[in-house]
Order: sequence, then C-alpha cells, then structure tokens
Amino acid sequence: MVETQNALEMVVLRHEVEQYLFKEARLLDERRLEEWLDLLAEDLHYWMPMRRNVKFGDWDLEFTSMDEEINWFDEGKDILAGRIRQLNTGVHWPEEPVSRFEHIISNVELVSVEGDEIRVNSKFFCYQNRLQDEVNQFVGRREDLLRRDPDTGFKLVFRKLILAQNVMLPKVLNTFL
Amino acid sequence: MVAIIRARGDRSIRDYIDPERGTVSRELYVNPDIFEQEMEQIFQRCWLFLGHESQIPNPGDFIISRMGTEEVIVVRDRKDNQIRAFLNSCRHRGMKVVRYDQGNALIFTCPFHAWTYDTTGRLVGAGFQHSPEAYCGTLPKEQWGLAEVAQFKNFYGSLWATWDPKAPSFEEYLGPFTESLRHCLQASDGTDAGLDMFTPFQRHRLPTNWKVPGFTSVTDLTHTAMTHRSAAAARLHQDRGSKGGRDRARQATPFPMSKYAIGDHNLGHGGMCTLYHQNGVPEYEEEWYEAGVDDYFREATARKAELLADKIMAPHGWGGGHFAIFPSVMVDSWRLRWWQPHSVGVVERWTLSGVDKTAPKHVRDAVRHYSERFNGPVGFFESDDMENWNYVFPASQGARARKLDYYFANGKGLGKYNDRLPGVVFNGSYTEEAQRARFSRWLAFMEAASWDDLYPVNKAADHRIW
Amino acid sequence: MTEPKKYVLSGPHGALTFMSLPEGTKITTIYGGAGEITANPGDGAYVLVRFTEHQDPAVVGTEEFVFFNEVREATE
Repeated sequence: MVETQNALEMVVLRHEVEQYLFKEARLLDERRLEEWLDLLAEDLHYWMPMRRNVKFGDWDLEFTSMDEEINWFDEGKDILAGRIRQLNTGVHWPEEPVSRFEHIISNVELVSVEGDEIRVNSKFFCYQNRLQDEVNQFVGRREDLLRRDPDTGFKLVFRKLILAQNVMLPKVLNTFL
Repeated sequence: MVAIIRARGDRSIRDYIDPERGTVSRELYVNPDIFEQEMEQIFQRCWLFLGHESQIPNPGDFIISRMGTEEVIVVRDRKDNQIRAFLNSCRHRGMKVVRYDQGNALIFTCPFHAWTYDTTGRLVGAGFQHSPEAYCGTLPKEQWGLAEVAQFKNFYGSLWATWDPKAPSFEEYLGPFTESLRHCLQASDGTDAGLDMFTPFQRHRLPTNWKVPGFTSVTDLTHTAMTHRSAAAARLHQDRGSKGGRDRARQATPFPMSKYAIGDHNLGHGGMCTLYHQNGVPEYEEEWYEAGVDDYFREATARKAELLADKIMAPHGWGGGHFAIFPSVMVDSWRLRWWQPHSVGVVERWTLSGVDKTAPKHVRDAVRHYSERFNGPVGFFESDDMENWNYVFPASQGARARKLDYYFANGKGLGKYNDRLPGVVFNGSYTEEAQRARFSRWLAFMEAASWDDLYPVNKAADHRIW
Repeated sequence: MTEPKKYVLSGPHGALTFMSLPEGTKITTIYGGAGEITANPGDGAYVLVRFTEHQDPAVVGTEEFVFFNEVREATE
C-alpha cells in the first residue's frame, strides 16, 4: 500500500515537473522572456559545455570543464537577465526580425527527489525558422535541478545543457534551451 | 611582374579595385574562382596563426588547427619538446589521420591502412610492412613522412607557420607590428610570453566570405554605434567585467596618447592603434564587477609601470580594440580571433582568450566568463556582428548585386606616415585606412608570382594602391 | 608453477585489450620475432616492441612498432 502510494506520488510529481518544463518551453516560444526568467532561481547556474571529439574511452575529456575552460554558457540569472534585456531592445539584429522558435521537450525522467529538490533529465529539440529560409536546429539533453517553489511550482536551480554539436554550426545561438 | 589572373570575363583582377574612387568590386567576395586563387596565392604563402603553446604543455600533446581550408596537426615532440605542424592528411591515400580535437599521442595512426607517424612526422610503420605478400619490407619510410610546414615560429608563446619556404622570417613579416604583438602576449605586469590560453578553441560557422569579417573588422568604428546598439542599450557593458583588465581606453587620470586607425599597405597589417606620448603606463581604473579582480590588475599594472618607467609602451589596439595581422587574425591584449575560410561563402570563426599565467583563480574565472559572454555565437557583442556579416553575402552575390562596388573611401587620402611606426599610414580612428591596407596587400599577393615579388623579400616593392 | 596469462586479442574485446597491453608484455610475431612491449600508444593498431629475436638480425635489440595483425601471441 505504501509502495502504491509512493508510485502514485511519483506519477503526480512527474506530471508536475513535465508541466513546468513544458510551460518553460512555451514561454520561450511565445517570446514571454521575462515570465520565463521568473521560473529561474536567483542562484541559478546555467551551463552549456563545449564537446570535443575524443578517443574512445576518454569520456572525461569530452565536455569542457566548468572550472577551467571555455564553455558556450556558464553563467547565472543576472547574465541571462542581461541577455533578455538585449533581446527586448528591438535592435538586436540577429533577432530582428525575431525568429520562430519551437522548443520540443521530451524524455522527461525523474532522477532523484531529496526534500524540496528534484533532479530531472529531459531532451530538447529546438527548431529555429527565421526570415525566409534561415533554419537552425539545436538538439540535445539536459540535466536539471529543480527546487519546489510556492509561487511557480518549481524554480530551476541548475541546468547542464548537452548540445549535440562540436563546432557550433549555427552562426548565433540566441534562445535558451 | 603581374601574373595573368582572370576573375570574370576578361578583366584582370586589378580592374576590380578602383583606387581613385576608393571602391572594391563585390565580385572579389562572391566568385568561387577568386576564392580558389586566394587559397593558393595567400594562404599557401602567408604566416598563419595555429594556436598557443599553453594548449600543448606536455610532450606528445597535440591539437588540430587549420591553415586556410586545411587541417594541421600541431604537436609537441616527445623527445626534443619542439612543437611542429603537419598537414592532417595521410601520405598513402590522403585520409584524415587525426580525427580527435586534441590529445596526447605516441604515434598518429591512420585508420585506413594503418600508416603511422611519430610526433616528428616520420612514417614509423604501416600495416603489413614486413609481409612477404605485401610491401616485403620495401616501403621507403623515410620518404613518406607527413607534410610539414615550411617554416614554424613560436613567438612569445603564440604559434605560427607558413607553407612557403621563401616567406620572410615571422618578424620581417610582422615588420613594425612585431613589438605590438609581443606586447599583446605579455602578462598584465609586462612579463613576456605571460599568457595562459583557455582551452579549447571556440569555433563556429558563419555563412559568408572570409573577407567580410576578416577585412572589414580590422578597424570598423563606424559600425559600432549601429551594429552594437542593443548591447549598449541593454547596458551590458556596465553589468560586469570589462575588456580583460589591461590597456583600457579609460584611465583614472589623463595620460597623453592618441588614437588612430592605421594601415601598413605594404604588409597588410593594421587596425586600431593607441600611440603613447609618455613613458610608463596609464594609471589603473577600476572596472571589474567581480570582487578582488581590480586589486589583482591594479597591482600588476603597478609592476608594469615600474618595468616601463623609462620606456614608451609599444603601440597597440586600445581597450577591446585590436590590430590585425594579414590575412585574418585580430589581436588584442587578451585574445586572438581569426577567420578560417571553408569555401567562398562559408567561414569559421576561432577564438582563443587568455589570462596571466600567474593570475589567481578568481581572476582567471572573471576573465574567462567575460570571454564566454562577449565572443562568438552566444556573445552579447559578436552575435550582432554575425547577422550583418552573414547577410552581406547573399545580398551581394546576385547577378545584379555583384556588378556593384563596395565603398572603401572613408578617410582615403587623409592619412599620414609617422616615424613611430615606419611605413604605417596613420588616419582618423573612424576611417577605413586599415581595410584599404588589407586590399593593397591582398592585390599584391594575388598578382605575385612568388615571394620574390612581395615586400619585404623584395625591399623595393611598393604595394600601396590608395 | 602457473602458466603466464595469455591475452585474448581476437573477438569483440580484442582491440580494447590490445590498446591496454601493459609495458613488459611478451610479444611473438607471425614472422618468428619475439620481444617485449616498451610502450603502447593505445591506438589499437600498434605496440612498440624491443626485439630479442627478429627475422632481420639488425632489428634485434632495437624497437619497432608492431601491427596488431602481425602479433601471434601476447603473454604477461
């Protein structure tokens, strides 16, 4: 009975987490960037390492180090807020006219629950369509740490973005993943 | 001597630049035949930037870099500790020997027929080399090593190479910019070869011709207000950090200096230039958001001031500004950014940022994070550049558009020579002097039969066209 | 007395085993050569061997990279 109870709780939690992740994606696609920012914890760490081509087995060398190397993103909420201020100036040329972004989130997987904190993995497919024929695709997976929050349900505390690129093929990455 | 190079129809390549009007035909940016000739005439001859010694500190360490459209293996030898560079193409059937971005190797083994090379490029093995049914031990290994660059230079930690044995020495190639590059590779306390570069290379693709960013961004101050309006409006500069903590545009107290756009028409180098009129260095002004970073740079600047108390600092780009080394490397006091051509309409941007070797962790982190948010496809500043550099190409490529010319006459004829950098034209900081110098040198390379026609191998050559 | 360990260099784990053969491993070749590994580049293709016996007497006492396909046996 206890186990059934736990299983049910986990299904509900998974549902809540999914709703949070889906809402995040929708806010980005609807260009409600400041509302998206509200979903992030003040102490957020947003990290997208670069990925190297490495020899079989040298997996510890694949991702750039958060402590010592150059990453695509390695920043907090204040910098993300600055990016959003820039996107909202109306004169940020790679987003003027603005792109049609569609973030698709799937493979949501609860990894662990400890008190208020939930580790959750998911995958993203972000399609960008811009001007007449400019198309970019950002595909990868995320390892998130969420914290329960009385206002928004959850807040994002940590996100590792694992993008399936070596050389960044699009000229600009101007959305959040 | 003028080689016969035909671009389109029967005009010679010289006809596509009009020094009187100050124009360059768009044809030179969009024509694939011109691109192929550039790879031969320019990228096979010039000194090109490969990387930095701090990326390969240990024997056997290697990185993959590029020279023009081709990959090279840059490796520190296991025995003599020398750094060498080789074309990443197996001598047997041309397979890409190394497909890893970096690593540590005893040998480089081709995955096709297992020809294998040591860290001096020597062929040291091949599958079935002793087999009586194959090579029977007759493979002349000493003749089939990897193709090595003709000349290699470790210049205060920065690594450069050329494929042309007739190219002048690297210092001659730099000419009056030698001390400026040396200055940029110093730590903020003035120690030579004082930088550690953050790994790895930041690399991304941009669909445009390499000369659009490679020549235009040499000095282009008239673009800043418009292109980067969003960064200024969002007050991103004031958020955090600054331009690497060295050689800023601002000082706490006035320091006599002048700012110019400069161009060396014979060598093709040029850019933004601060000329100092007094010994020593400007007083440090606080600018870092992160705690303790200003303290470090203030102390380092004080040590540098002692070192240069009775010397004038070498001219160099100011603040986040830069000077550029022909054909496509931009240098400032904490990073090198350069353009790797892929095809007439595709270029790859590479960035390498550095910090003082002796900087403590909090300073390293501050500079690294600044670099991450400034440069490249996610950079506050450079993402704006990418849009403009990108759409120049399709909008210039059409049958009608390519018949038009680009305007390069901003400040033409107003520049003056200055004894401080002999041979270099000094002009107003918002002029396109450096871009014109690029094209003087570009044309010289495109027309030259060999380095014998080119300055400084030919000391009498005068390549200035405008 | 136990038999020295013989490495299995064929099959799905053969290449990974070959990549990690330690220095000191005894090698015999299909040409009748014998020697000891002095370095393993870890590329799965070669090991560097100092030869005690070789079809070419000049190679005895020197080192040569040996291709995996020419190794008869590798023993501890």
